Amino acid sequence: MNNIWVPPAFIIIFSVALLPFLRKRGHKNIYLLIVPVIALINVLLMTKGSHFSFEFLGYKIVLARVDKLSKVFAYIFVIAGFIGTLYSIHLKEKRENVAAFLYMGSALGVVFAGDFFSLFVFWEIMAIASTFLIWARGTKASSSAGFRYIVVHLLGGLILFSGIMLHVIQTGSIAFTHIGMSEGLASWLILIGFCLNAAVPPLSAWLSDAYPEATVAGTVFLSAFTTKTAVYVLIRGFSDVHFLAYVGAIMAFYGVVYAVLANDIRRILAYHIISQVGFMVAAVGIGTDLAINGAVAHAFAHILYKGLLFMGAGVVLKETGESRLSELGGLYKYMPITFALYMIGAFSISGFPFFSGFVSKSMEISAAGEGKIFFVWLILTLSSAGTFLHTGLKLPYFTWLGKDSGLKGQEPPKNMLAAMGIASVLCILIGLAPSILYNLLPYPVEYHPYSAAHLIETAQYLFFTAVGFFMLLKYLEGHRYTILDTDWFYRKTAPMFRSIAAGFSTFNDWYEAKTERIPYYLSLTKKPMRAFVNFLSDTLFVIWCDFWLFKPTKKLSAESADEPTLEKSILFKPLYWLARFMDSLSERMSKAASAFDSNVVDKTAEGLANVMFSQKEIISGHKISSFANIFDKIIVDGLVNGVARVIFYLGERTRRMQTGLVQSYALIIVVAMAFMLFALSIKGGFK
Amino acid sequence: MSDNQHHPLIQKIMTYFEDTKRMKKIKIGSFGFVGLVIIISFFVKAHGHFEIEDIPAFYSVFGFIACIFIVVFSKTLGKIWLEKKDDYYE
Repeated sequence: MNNIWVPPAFIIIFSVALLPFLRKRGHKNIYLLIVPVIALINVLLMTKGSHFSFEFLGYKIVLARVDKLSKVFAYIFVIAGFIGTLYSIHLKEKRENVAAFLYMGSALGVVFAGDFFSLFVFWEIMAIASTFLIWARGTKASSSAGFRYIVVHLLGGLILFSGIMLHVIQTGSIAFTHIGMSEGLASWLILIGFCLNAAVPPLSAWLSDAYPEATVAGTVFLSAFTTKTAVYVLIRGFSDVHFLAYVGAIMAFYGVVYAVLANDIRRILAYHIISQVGFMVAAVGIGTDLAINGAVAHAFAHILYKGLLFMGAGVVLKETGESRLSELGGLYKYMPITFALYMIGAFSISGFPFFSGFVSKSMEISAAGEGKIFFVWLILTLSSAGTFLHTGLKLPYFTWLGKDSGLKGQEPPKNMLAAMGIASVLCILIGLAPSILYNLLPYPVEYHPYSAAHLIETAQYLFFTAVGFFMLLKYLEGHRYTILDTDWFYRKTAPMFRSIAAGFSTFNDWYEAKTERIPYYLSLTKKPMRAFVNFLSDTLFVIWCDFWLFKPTKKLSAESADEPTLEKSILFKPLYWLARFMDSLSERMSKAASAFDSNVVDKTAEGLANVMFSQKEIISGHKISSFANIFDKIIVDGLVNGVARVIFYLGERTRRMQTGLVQSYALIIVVAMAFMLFALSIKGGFK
Repeated sequence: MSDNQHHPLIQKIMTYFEDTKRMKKIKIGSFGFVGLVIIISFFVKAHGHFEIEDIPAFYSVFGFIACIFIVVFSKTLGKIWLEKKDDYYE
């Protein structure tokens, strides 16, 4: 290999393997912080071009397609990973870091993927790893939100996968290049898959549903990677799809509207991710060099300030145990540093001069202006005002200022403040010296944000937004409401499914009552014909086992102390072993089946049910009219238990076949011979 | 003032901003500043992309209307449709 670097995804993902061996907290912390630094150096060393490519099933896989676009995303992902890790190292447990590293590594994998196959693999790892950051919170709400999150993402993955399949069939190439809308269904499916991860409404509810339920540090990671990788792939694949400009504008406004209504501070910020990503999607749709530069710059700046905002909100949640705006207030006295650092993030997202949002967001709005797309320009400018209104005024006012809620708190651990500090410094640095960021952008930049006109415009609309805010102050207080979003479709349509499920359940109970006793009847039957059939079936089963399964082990024969002496005769030993083997096999199978039943299937069923229905009924467990029960009864009892029962029953009968009568065994041999002949003839006949 | 022990410098900054008279001055000062900005805006030729931007003090009016519009629009939408009881999904 000519390169001294490796795809950064693997550094991060494989670094997780060493984590369990780092028992001491200090070692763990140093290790966790060094890995992103190594990855950053690695990204710096990467040389342009397509590297690490190999043939797989006749297609060319490219693990490292390095150009300016992929590099700038890699830089910010690694920086965000470092900041998020620093924010979380006070935690004793490593599971969040494990999930975060897998998540970050796979995000880097997506960014450097030069083909659809590796892109899809990393895409799915990303979805799964990120879910654990939600589950790690350990609350009931986070567990069901996590299930909804993963199901929506797996569905999105399926749509993307179908799109990729169609694309590969149509073009014969697996390379991930510009797609556009010329491929019909394939384009649409891939676009929908990408848009789902970019949280384009109506496919956005997973974000505002799950992010506020994740752990304090988890949300910081979540806010950085999923939507921004989606922006990256949109830039790559759909950079001049014009209607995305309108989609993005609507998205930007949608996030702002919901942020007015949301009560949880982290949900307000989550809706603002949707709004901010809307700016980027709009820029992707405009597709000019300025717009693409703007989208990338904004993604870069956004990851920093959104991380900072989520860190600030996370501190509030960590120190007070409360994240609802209606319950917060007057906290600045207890955590002034956190408040100040949060405000740097708030000024950045609002686009205050000398902060990072000012130099990135304005590129996108200018691009809309230069493209003379009035609607997009108007909505984006409107949404900018809305961003300041919520993130810069409403949220900090009702959290840190405003009426005293009686909640007390304190400054968080130093590592959290340090993480926020680094993010703040970077936000201001980009604001003061935008050329640092502009030099990283994919196209040459001829844009100067600090013009007199731009400064004057910004000062005016920011100031009068603030005037409007203080006029409408009393209408903006937080209220404890649940806000309808598109997750309604999979959270509230449950009663319909439930009544269908109830019908199934009743039928299933009846069916089960009927079928449960069949083995019992069979074993009790005295009818000679029936006994013969049973015997024959058992015998055939034994022979089948003899051919395919008979591998007696020492352990099995050693267990046979209490068995009759017949076993000691060499003639009958194999048969005895077989029976013992069947016995223990059936026992093991049924044990495994019941373990599988209770551990895996029940949980999966419960999870699926949580996704589709509200959790209360499943937890209380009294009502059988739920999807979980249907799933349990039909799939588990019908399949797993059913198989176990059959094996158990057959094993039992096989054991009883040790009659000790020579004629029984002779019959077995005869039948076996007949069966063998039959089998051979069939085989010969088809030749 | 505060129950917590903060760094003296931070304590000082906090005391500085907690003075209501001073805050009033800051408020008046910022209004004055924006007034000045608006006056300057008449003389600075903005290279607007749309004609609408040439209206005097357009961004002041826009900022104000945008804020009112967003709040009124969202709250109305919330009241007539989107706001449900807190235990709606349970």
